Amino acid sequence: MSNPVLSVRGLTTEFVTPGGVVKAVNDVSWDLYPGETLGVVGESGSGKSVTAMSILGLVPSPPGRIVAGEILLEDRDLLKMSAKELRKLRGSDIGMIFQDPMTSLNPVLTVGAQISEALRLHDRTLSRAEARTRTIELLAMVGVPNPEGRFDQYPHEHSGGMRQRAMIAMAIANDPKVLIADEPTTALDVTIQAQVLEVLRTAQERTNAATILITHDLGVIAEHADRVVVMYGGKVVEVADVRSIFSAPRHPYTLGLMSSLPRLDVDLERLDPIPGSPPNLVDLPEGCSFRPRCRVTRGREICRTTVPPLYDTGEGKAAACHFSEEVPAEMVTVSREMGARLGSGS
Amino acid sequence: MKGTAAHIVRTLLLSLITLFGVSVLIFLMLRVLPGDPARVLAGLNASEDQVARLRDELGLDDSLLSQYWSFISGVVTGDLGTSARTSRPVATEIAVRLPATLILAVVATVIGSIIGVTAGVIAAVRRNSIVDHVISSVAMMGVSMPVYWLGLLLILLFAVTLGWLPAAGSGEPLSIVLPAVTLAAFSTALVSRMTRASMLEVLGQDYVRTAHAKGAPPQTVVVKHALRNAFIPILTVISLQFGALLGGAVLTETVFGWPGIGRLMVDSIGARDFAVVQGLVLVYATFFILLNVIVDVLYVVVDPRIRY
Repeated sequence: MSNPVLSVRGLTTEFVTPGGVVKAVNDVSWDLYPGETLGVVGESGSGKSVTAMSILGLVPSPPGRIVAGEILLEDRDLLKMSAKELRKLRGSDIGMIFQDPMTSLNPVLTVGAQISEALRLHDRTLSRAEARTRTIELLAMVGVPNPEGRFDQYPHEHSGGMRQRAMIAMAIANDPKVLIADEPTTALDVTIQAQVLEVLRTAQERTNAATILITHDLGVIAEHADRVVVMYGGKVVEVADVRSIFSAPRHPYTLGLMSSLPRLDVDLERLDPIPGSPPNLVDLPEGCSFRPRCRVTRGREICRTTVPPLYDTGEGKAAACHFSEEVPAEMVTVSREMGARLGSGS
Repeated sequence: MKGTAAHIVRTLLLSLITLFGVSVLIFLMLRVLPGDPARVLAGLNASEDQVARLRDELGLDDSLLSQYWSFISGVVTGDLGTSARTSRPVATEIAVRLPATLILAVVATVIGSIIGVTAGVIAAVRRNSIVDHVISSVAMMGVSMPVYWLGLLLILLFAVTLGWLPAAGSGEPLSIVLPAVTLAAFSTALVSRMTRASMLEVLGQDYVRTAHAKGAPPQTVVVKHALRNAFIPILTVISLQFGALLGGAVLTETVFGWPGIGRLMVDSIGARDFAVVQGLVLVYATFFILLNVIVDVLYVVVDPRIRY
């Protein structure tokens, strides 16, 4: 494999709250390779979005602070950069698409003005007219009909889908090396979601940006990601290619995610939800943070005493479980309980 | 924009009803005030005969309805009546005093808005810092301090002790400084508090994060993206303050001997000079209505989502 375009190494981001220090992102490491789409999955509070905000240097501070790690964009550590250097990268080398297009565009500026601004901020030589031409091209590229007319309209005159297309146009305006999409379809109607994801895919192909796709929607992951990072309680618990994640998960949490997902391709008698609730990030249990909800641990001592590191499971895959080799067998058991053979067809 | 024009026309037509209501109210309120205008005008030593003659001249013995009719029919033709105290047309009395009030109101509002918005923005951006605490405390003082007290302190310092500025009157260009600063202190405090609150809300919005994410420098994010969104409530406070000042700052005008309509109003009420009081109230009401129409238009300019 070629060199990663973005490397997150041991990133730890904390929030100081009245209840104590929350380790929202806890020693997270992963690599993003050129041209690929890296899916980041996990439930609310697992640290997905905070990881993205840490990359952009947009963790609100106070109460947030990055306490350890490095974020390397082609060998330059973003965490060591001055505010000004980092600002130059935001919106140029790193493009960001946010969750809610209804609130992410400025209501008092035209859509065109907001995209032009992204262009002109990073290219001082660009005239207003040139920026307008380029913006209209971008709007056309993301499938906004009548881009000339849409340029001068305000966000409230656009539908949610059109706004998210505009956000994508803004994010790719300067041909970023890395595109971060944080739950880009969560706030949209189901019918619009597929369209927007298609636009995102096209945009990514045109700019050849490596993409981080943050979502809790495993369907989106299955369709669009090449590799997957599974996060739980602020930590990475599993990394694998998208095929392996679905057909042969090696972490009990990933297995839990798969077996709580309704499917169209196999007949299930019932779903198997993960019992319990996500860990309290202020007061993390000793040992493995997934232990209280885990069906593999069976009361074994090591799970209670030792935080599992990310064990290499071969072929660039890894899982943070002391007993990851037992997970495939567990999967068979779960499938039998659910009345179907899970993952058989994938 | 077409809707806005129609809205303005509609507002102005409706305001005729408002003005009619105002004229009836002020007319009746003056009539129920204790004290006989004729007796006040004639002076303490006047005989009953003289007072009676004066009452007749002023039409005070006519029925309320016919008194109101003669007042309102004059107003419609642009005649506000004659001051009982000076025997000059009310319109002239007001016109002579109005410029002083207008200039004081404009200067105080401009100072208050510029400093207030700036201080409020800084306090919001540096929330919970020492700068924020200082600005918020000073603003709290500004809102709480009575204007006549502040006015007297300023006179004491700048006119009496330092001798830099005139203490009272309107003879020199510099005369406006102290009354304007006194009035601006309250406006500044009010505007800065509103700006801070409104900015804090806007700075937490998603589109502000978007602006950061596209690489905009902090000052661009604050001014271009946040302040304009925060401006509607600020504009409302500024316009209300300006409207209040247009009515004449009675206390400030009194402390500084400033010849505006605030003092004219107080003097006229004291003298039971009905015609002048009625005229002034109608002028205030008209100002307020026009100001509201202007602010309605400004809302549309500031926020494209607002349509009438």
